[in-house]
Amino acid sequence: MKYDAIVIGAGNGGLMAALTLQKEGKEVLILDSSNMPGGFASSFIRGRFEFETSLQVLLDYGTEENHGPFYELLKRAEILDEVKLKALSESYYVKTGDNQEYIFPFGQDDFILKMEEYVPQSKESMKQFFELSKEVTEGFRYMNESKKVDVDELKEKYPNFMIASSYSVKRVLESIKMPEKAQEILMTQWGTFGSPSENLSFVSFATMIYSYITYGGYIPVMRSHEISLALLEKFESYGGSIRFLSRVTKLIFENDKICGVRVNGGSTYYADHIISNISPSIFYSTLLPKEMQTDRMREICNARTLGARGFSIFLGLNRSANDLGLNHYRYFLTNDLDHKKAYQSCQELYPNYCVATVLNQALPNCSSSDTTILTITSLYTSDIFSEEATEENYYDLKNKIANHFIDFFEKTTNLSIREAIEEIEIASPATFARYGGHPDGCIYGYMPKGYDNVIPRMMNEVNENCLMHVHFCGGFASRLSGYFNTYFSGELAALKTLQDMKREEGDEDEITD
Amino acid sequence: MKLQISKKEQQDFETFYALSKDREICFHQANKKPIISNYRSNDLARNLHPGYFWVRIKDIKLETNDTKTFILEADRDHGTNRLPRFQAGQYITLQIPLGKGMYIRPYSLSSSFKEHYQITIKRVLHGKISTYFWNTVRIGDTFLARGPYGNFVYQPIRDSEHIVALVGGSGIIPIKAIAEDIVNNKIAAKMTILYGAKTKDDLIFRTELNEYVKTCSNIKVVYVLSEEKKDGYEHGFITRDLILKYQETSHSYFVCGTIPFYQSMNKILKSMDVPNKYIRHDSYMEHDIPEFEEKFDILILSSTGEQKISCKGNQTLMDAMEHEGVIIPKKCGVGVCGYCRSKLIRGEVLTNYDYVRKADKKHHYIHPCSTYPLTNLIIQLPN
Ligand SMILES: Cc1cc2nc3c(=O)[nH]c(=O)nc-3n(C[C@H](O)[C@H](O)[C@H](O)COP(=O)(O)OP(=O)(O)OC[C@H]3O[C@@H](n4cnc5c(N)ncnc54)[C@H](O)[C@@H]3O)c2cc1C
Repeated sequence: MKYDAIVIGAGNGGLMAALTLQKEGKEVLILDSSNMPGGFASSFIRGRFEFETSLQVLLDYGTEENHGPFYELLKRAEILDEVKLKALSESYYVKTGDNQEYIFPFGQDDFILKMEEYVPQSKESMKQFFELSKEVTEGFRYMNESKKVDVDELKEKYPNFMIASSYSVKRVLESIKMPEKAQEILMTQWGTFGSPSENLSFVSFATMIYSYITYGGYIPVMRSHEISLALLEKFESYGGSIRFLSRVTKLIFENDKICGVRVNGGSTYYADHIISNISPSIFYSTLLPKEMQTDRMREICNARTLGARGFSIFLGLNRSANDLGLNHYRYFLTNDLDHKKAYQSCQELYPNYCVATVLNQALPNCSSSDTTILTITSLYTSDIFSEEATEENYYDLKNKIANHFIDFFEKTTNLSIREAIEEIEIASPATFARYGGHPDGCIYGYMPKGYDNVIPRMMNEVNENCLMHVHFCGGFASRLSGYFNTYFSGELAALKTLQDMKREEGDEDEITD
Repeated sequence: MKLQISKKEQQDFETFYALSKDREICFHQANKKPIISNYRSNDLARNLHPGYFWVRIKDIKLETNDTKTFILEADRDHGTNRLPRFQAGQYITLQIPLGKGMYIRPYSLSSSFKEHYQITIKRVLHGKISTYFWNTVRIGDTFLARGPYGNFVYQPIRDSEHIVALVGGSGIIPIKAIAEDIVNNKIAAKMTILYGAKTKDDLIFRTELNEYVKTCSNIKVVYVLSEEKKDGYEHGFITRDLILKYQETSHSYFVCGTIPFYQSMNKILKSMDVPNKYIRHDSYMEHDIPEFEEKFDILILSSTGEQKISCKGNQTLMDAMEHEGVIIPKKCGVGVCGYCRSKLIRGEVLTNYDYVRKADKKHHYIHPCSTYPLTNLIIQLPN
């Protein structure tokens, strides 16, 4: 049988792409190498704990009255009522190696007040920051939602968006004269992007903070696996098919036109349209026949830098969060408030920066009473892990690094958790490489910096299509990584595929005419 | 507000227009070498977890009158050049075609990691596969293997550095591998093994264990014989008193044995108020097998089409499928790992295990390896 389209990978992007197409009446097949949908958006069980694999917080959701684009996306996917999301009660908890502590609420006004408390005379710049972020968010939405961007209209309606999105976070925050300390407090969240303020475009940072502080943060009651499954169920209810344990190994062409894929084990599936939830780098280098690799593909991949690699420690603790003093949901822990130093420490094997979440603070019943799920995540912003890790030292090295982070967590928070560890699982870049299939265990796609920030990616997207009937979605595509971005990128890839299909149907009509 | 970053207002807008061109220029300047296709972390992951590989029986050794050890080597003829590294306590699975059936069975690795693997198989009365290994498998036979898998390993961050291993019969197999790692200084821990068997001759690896005790002060072994009285051996069963007699400080308990053995050890450890954290056990069927023998029709949907099979009320869905040669992903086989996770499209089942994700429960996913039919069923396999 021939499908209308094949989606390679059932991550957020792939699931959303497949559902969007199937809903339009196309016959879609998803192929995924693992035995579960969702890619990084998943969960796993150890002993009496069900751990979340990646999600710390969902942005862009909000409430029925005041909702963001993710709410609308869930609605379009017809799963708004299928997934139960719970709101977080506090936005950030920041703690430094020298005992500085910053706790932030949701809501712009409260956020600004709090910052003023921590950094006197920051109020004006913070107000400007939010005002600017609002315009940037609206401009970005306009750009996302218009089929063709009218630059004059953009300039007229969202001039500040155009200016701000041309510069780095650092340049913009300096230009609105935000006190350095306030900048650094905001930038403790650089880990959400893996890119420091001098490289990251202001758009990405501003839209993230704006959305988070105005719409709040959410977490699905049954882990992100609940969203992945809801998307899959919806897709299947429209007649879509999925094959797990089917790793795509090869693309098949007929007269230079793509016509299908082969999976491990030898089965072949046919379709004229492909959506790839895997990176262009892997797609062009391993799935495409060698002789078809063009210079254009090469420059597109070779000009990029890989983004941050993940390192996560999943802990099931045998005491309650309150008992252990784990009173916050989201901990940003850094030895130094200077985020550049934190970033640099992530180029070494033992970083002095991590983000930790206490799931029970958001979902009190996520584990049995008197237990806690704590996840510590950090990043590598260089190749250091892959350079150091070998088959021989792998398990020891993982334990050493995990030990470092547990010490770092305890020292920075002044809390003791080690004795309470009942279950532990450690995910290294090799683990993420194994499950996501991405280069070197990258969890955030290509590094967003300079010319590879979101706006230039979007502007040039069309020129960067190297193969007819192939579109990319997911963390390596044009919308960067993150839950909403990757779902949205899937929708966009589906729309582009639909356009391709329509165009061709049109052609055929012409011929028969 | 009006944002201005460069000296001249117009310049800011020009910067925006230039974003696209800048990117294009950088792309043009990029090198045109073939795109890298192998990354170190991906290669590392692939080497550690190759998915599947082929093994050949290199040697067979009689351990006791009902236990044999099979030495496995990489089967180069099938393209496997070396066997993947594993952690002591882990298992592999072997795929065994037998009659029209296709069986996948987990086997704990019984030595620490070396060039060759070894697995040890006890002949079980009426056990189809163990009997096959016992009677039919010869040196030179080859098998498709998968793994290594499993979490029954020493974890220095979580576990106490003193381990008490509570072992019943063939439960010694993974424990022996862990002991060997301790002897070879690959694991920094001390272990006291309380090893229960019927008679002295039923003890597997007695020679090796005695050797470990001789050469390594971190290993202690206490043999507990239930059907034989002998000097230097404890007589009876592993009891709370016996444990207390041999343990010194606080411990992690590593439990491994048959289902009744787990049940009795769990009872003892509960009575000693040992926190969960300090009780590790290999995966095992944690539930009782239902009694009814009624037969049900099972319709199986998979990428290869539809297939109808029958399954008895006291038989797992996995078992019924294996008999019919249906190939379904399988690792632990006892409901814990979730690798065989499949969707129940219609019908009622009995599931006594608690290792299904919350959202999976909501959407009717089951682990066929430990699920029994209560009615006729339709199930959808993952592949
Ligand atoms: C530890 C961690 C924390 C994170 N925290 C957050 C957060 O708090 N908020 C947030 O918004 N984002 C977060 N992210 C990022 C977010 O999880 C990802 O951006 C997003 O899930 C990626 O989705 P994707 O569409 O790129 O697909 P992926 O999740 O990358 O999935 C790719 C899929 O493709 C499959 N595949 C790969 N190769 C093949 C092949 N050859 N054939 C078939 N299938 C193949 C894989 O099996 C996988 O299922 C986090 C990520 C990690 C790892």
